Amino acid sequence: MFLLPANGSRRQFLGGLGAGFGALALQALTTGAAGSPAGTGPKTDPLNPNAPRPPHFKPRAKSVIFLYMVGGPSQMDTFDYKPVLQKMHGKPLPESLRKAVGATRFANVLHGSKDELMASPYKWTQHGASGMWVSELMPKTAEIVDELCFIHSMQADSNNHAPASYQMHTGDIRVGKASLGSWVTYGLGTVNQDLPGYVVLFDAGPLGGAGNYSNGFLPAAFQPTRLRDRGTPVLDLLPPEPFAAGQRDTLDLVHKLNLRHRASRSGFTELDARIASYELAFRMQSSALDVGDLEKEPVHIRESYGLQHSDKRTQAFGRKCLLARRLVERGVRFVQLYDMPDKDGWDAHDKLTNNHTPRARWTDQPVASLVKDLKQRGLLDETLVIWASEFGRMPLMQGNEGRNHNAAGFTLWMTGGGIKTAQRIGSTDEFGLMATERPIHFRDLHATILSALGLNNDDLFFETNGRQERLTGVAGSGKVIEGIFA
Amino acid sequence: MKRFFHALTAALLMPIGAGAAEPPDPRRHFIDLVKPLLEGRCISCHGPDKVKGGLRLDSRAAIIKGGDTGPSAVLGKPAESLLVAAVMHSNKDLTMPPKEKLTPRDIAVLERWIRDGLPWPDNSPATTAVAAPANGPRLGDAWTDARNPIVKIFGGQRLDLWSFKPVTNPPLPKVKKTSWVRSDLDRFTLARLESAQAKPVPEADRRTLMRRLSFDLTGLPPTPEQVAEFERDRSGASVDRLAERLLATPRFGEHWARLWLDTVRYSDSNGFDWDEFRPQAWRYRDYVIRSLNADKPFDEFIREQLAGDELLSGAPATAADRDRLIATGFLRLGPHDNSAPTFNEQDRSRAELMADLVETTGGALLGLTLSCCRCHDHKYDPLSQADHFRLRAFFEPVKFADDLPLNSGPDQDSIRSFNTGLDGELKPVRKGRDELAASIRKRLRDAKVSTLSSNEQRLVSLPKDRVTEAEKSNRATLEKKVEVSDKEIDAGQTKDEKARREELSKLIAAIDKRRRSFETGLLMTDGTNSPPPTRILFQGDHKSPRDPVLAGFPSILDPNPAAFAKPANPSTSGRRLALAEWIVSGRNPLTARVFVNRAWTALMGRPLVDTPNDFGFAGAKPTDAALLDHLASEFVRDGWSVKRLVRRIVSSSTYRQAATPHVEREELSSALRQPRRLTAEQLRDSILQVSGLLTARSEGPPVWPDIPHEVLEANPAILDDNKEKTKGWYPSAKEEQFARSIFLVQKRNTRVPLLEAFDQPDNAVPCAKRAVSTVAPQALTLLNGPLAIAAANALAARVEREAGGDRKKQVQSAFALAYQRKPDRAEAAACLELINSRGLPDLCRALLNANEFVYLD
Repeated sequence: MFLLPANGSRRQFLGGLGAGFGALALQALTTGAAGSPAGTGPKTDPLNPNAPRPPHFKPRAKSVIFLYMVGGPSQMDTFDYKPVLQKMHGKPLPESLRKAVGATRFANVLHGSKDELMASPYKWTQHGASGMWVSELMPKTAEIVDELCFIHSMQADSNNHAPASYQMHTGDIRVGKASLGSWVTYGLGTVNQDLPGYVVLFDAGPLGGAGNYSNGFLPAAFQPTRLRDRGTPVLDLLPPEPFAAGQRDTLDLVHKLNLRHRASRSGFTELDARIASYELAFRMQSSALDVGDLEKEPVHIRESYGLQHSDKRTQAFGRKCLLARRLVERGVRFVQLYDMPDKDGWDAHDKLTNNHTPRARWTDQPVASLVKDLKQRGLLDETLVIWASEFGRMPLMQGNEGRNHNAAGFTLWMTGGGIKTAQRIGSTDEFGLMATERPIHFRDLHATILSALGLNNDDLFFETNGRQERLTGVAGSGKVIEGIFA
Repeated sequence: MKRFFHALTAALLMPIGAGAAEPPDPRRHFIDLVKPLLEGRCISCHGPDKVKGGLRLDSRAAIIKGGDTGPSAVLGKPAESLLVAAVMHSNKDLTMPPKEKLTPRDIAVLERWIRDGLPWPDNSPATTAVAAPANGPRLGDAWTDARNPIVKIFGGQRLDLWSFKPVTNPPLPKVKKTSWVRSDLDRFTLARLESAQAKPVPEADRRTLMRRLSFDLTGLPPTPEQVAEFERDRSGASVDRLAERLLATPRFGEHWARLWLDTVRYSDSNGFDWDEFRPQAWRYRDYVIRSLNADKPFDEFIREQLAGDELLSGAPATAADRDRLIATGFLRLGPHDNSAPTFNEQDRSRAELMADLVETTGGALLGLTLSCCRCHDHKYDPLSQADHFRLRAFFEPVKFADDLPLNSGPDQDSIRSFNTGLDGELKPVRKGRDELAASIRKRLRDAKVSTLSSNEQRLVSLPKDRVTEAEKSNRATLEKKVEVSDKEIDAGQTKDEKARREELSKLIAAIDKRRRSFETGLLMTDGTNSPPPTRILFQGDHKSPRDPVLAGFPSILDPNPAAFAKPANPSTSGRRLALAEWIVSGRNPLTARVFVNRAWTALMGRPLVDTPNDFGFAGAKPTDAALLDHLASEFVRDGWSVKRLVRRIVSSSTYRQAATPHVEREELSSALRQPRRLTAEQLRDSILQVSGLLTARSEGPPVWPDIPHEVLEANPAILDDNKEKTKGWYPSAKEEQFARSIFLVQKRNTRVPLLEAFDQPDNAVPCAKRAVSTVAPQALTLLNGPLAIAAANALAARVEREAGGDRKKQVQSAFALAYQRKPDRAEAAACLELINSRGLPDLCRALLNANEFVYLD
């Protein structure tokens, strides 16, 4: 490995900072740094902002893998079985339900669909000891239903992709807030200092772009790092060819110059932080290459994740799922994964089967294998896995056998991290249109995710622009979903 | 002075921060905790809309009276109060709220409130009472008039906020070491140092001063020659001369515009799903650069941005008029979800625009956190929820004006008449083309008709009025059958006809291509003079409008409805102009303070008020309030001249001090200059300048840098370009790529990686001050990113040109270009070693990565 310096040189790299390094960090800690006024939110150390911090209470999970299905998969065609809908194909929506929905804040979900119910084109059967209904779209997920906890009554505040997606990620329909992964790493830091604490994986990203997964107002230390599942895992990770051979010497010179520069500026801790960041970048080179090397996995594992699948997109998503496991295995705190191989996602406005059937093929096997693999390795207990999207779809037909967006009621599932399995929480009406039993807002989902990690959502805040910002809004508005933990 | 300290002390004693255990004051307990709880969890079923169980919980009297099951509260006795029993679910028949129990924390809040005797400060729940009525008596400010709604809402508290006090020009402090004083502001900083038994730091060396002035005023490093020249001229006036020279270059506006663009959330795209490019936003960027370079008075600058369209009648007659229209881009820069109507959410989008305008005006111009009082009265500051909506009312009539021509009247006329001329040219050509198509069509139709039976032929040729009712349907079917489609014409035309048609189409296209269009911009104006009333939104929710309010300024200063201005533009309402006039008037104590604080930060490295967009109780207090007011009053007295303000600061002894790496005593921070990292733009521009890559550009549409495909695909919209060319990424020509960063396109969802890595803000909301983060990906970008590599190679080539093949000379030259100094012996030796072992480009790459390149003293 030509990138790695000899041990002596690495010691020398850090040695220049001497014993004062730790003392500096301590000083920075006590003066309250990284933009957060003293006495508010978690205290972060600017020299090592991702150092692990204690949670508020004993956590159930240590890491999160968030499987984000971009664009709004249909609940009526995956996990929310509606036999009445199957019988009433082609009939109009009952007037009473139209009126009831029209009187709520979700009235606009009725906009843009035909007044014609559309049965699911997929066959439904019961699975597992729990006898949960799953459509034929998700045969592999059906095998693990006993491990899952479904929430059928999610609701979003907007029926358009970007605002709803921002809300799912950041708690706010407006762009510019901090994402879940940033909040979690801000609250807890991360275990492995040689890898980023918050990783995002995608081909094409979510609708609404980086505003979904960015750190927003939180310090840049909590921004995500995008890893690629092939080639060099991180952008600009390695020097281009003519400079590769000289990297060690170059870094040594930079370090020497920095020490001379620092000598007359003692007490200016930013300089030390920057010196340390070069050391971390250097370590990241080898650890990122290592974690990204999927060839190290045995053939049966690679096969189970779909890496040998005949469909290239199944392979691509499988690699991301496998990478996600390798990341949490190494202590990465938060992995945000998107199933977006193109520009559409699950946004099946027309001919639902043309959209959903291939997408299920690309994701179903890798997702199910990830859950099984985590369980086999004993990692599932400490890893919270979430499968979700910004909203679901309408039971009414749009265009030629398509379905429009539906923020009034949709399904997600969770597993691992102390979640009580084989249960269903909340429900929609008999057509799957609107959450009727236990409607659940993203705030409550977020409070629940934080809680799994030992964080109290009201106590996790950051002062900016005169406001205490929280993932879950003003104190007291987000509640942990009752009964969700075992 | 004394009054000022009094105000400050009071501010320090105010309870701030919601983390505090129990608010000491029952009144505050009610406003901060009880009222939101009642509104959020109870009022929807027990209030004006619904009165379940005969119970209302929206007034003290109603609660004591109770509902069907009797009084809800026994004063002072929570344990005996029905309200507490209900929320504790201690009685199975009465569990409230029915769906979800309150938290123990919430229950404790109610218990304490009952224990306190149910205090309900006057008027706090009814939003109508918080603004002065339209026809009532005029009310005074909150310090002089007890009827002021802010006095009522907050029970006379919160009035001691320093930033709402008038700006006074404080007397110059007495100092001992008068020889140090170069300008008035030095007296303030020196007094502060002397009172702490501290001394000013000696003046920085010439090179440092030169670098500092160059970076602070133009955003760029000096050349080695400029530094050498400045080092030779040691006269006292040389610094001022240098400052004059730098202020006079266009680079000043290009650098200082960045400060303003951060403040006003500038972006070249919409954000949200498709993040469409805004092809005209750059005109606003250029307007800001022009205004700063021309030293346009800052009050006029604000007036134009809030209400430039109200300042002229009809088409712009002059370049100044045109700039007034362009300035309204300020109102358009926020994120915009233009697909909202597709999902019937245009109301949400409009509400977001309104909130953006109020909150941007608050943060950027007033230093007020108006986002904090959108859903409820402000938690810390003397601002009511009504104040948010009173300000919103000034913006109520606005509409996008993307079609408003920027051309002068005569230009518009000549464009119109030119196009009319083209229409004249087109007419005969079009006619010829249409006639030719018609004749082909007729021929083909006749051929089809001839294949019909004779009976059918008769029917299809029959004049319309002679077709009988019974034949109608048959006739229609036949018509369809003999119809000739455009495709059939294409297939059935002769060779000559085809050539002729193509010729005519080309001619039409050529004429159309000459058509001229009006220049347009990203503009705003009023859509109506009589907009709907502005309503307070319950909990900020646009689906829950409540009582109307009239436009007005912050009630603490002036609770009366504002009189609208009489605009020059007959089709605007004068609302925004009234707001602008108030903002730049002596009645508003905030704006000058807010701006001089920004300017101070840009020059001294550390704000006087550490929260530049929040001058409220939860924000930082000024580290030197007298200095801030001195600067603010001088700024206004200088006719709001930004250049004079800059000159005032850089010509001081305070500015010239050597940098203090670590200020031990916080109270001295305002008197000392601290080192700082270059901003993202300064860093990129320096890399380009030093390596000789920087290309000249001073205006015009944005430059699109080449960025890696994997960054582009991070926003799926980019992969789905449209014919209007607003969704994709359109890299500029190679020779334009290395323009100054201010000219690079700034898309919200696809950021330029190097700038993003070094904390360029995403500008969803006004950026108060740049974050300075230090993370490993920055090192990777600066070591291995495409720009860094190009610059290392270019710098090496430049060094080789200037120093030839002698490696020792190469080291000297590279050091001079990168740092404008000579290396010391050890540095020279280490650099030489790297050239010898790895080569000159490796050395250049190292120099561009070292802290000395990235930090400024």
